[in-house]
Amino acid sequence: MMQKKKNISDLEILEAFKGNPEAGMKLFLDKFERPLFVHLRSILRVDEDTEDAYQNTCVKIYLHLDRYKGKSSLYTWAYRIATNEALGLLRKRKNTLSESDSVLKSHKAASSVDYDFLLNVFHEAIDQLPSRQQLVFQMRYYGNYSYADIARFTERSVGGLKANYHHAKKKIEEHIKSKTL
Amino acid sequence: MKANTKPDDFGLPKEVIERSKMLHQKGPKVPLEKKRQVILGARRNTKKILSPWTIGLGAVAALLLGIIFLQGIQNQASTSPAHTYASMDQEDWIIDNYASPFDKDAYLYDINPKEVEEINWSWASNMAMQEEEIDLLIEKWSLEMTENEFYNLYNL
Repeated sequence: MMQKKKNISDLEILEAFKGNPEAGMKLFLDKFERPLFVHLRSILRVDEDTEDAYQNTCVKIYLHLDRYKGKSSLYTWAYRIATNEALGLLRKRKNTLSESDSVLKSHKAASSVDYDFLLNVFHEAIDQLPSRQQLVFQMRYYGNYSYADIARFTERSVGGLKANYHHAKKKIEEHIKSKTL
Repeated sequence: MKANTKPDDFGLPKEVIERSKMLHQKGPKVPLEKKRQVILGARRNTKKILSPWTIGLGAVAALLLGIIFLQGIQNQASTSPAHTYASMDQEDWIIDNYASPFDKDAYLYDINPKEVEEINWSWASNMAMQEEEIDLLIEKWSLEMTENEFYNLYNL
């Protein structure tokens, strides 16, 4: 199998893209496909959503790479597109979240430590957050991103993100308490 | 750059947090190389679809739709002035335009009306205003803090 060129520079990708978009995109994917997938997975958790978001992100990048102005690094630009895609899916998911989706209705832990139940409570708490708080929480908690990175990917202020994370944590704590006490 | 802080466990057992993290860090079901065909095909498909005829027809259709849309707005403006932003309650307007359905309830309960009145509404009602600025303002109102307290809390 051909070794992937992970050390290739932004400039090399862009130059290749100018000459032959398909070849340029292949280089881009060699470098970014795995990190982009991991990034989306850390936010979306669900297989289907992550794969949809990954594919949409890559298609958007492929169709618009010629409009990339180089104001930020290619990495930031691509992650920004991926993050927006994930936010869109979180919003859509929230709109379609119905009562029947909740496996927790009138369910209480059967044994003293019911890991499945607690995991569901935890994920339900996250899913019920407003989309933006959910996005920031998942990027920080699961993706281990710094606020500075999240700010670059979401084009928001670090202060606003800290507020989002703070509220998300409070809401998760309250939800877990209400379901487990 | 990665954050270097120990994440909160929300009082949950370690096993639960670990399983949750595993779910958020799972690899792809289908190898990503297989997705490449679809991704790389996108540009070829777009090229085929966007022939000069398609672009021409699209432009004509967009023009017609634009005219219909503008006429609709003119009609609405002349028959129902009650729907303009200026006549709407300011708080309702910002909630309707910027808050998600889940957020709306929270904001309705949390907003401090006195602080809302202090906002420059002609500026806030400008559609060019950034969503994050609106979010920050709403965040501030919902906490019912002075600006200094808010900025200190989050080390802005």
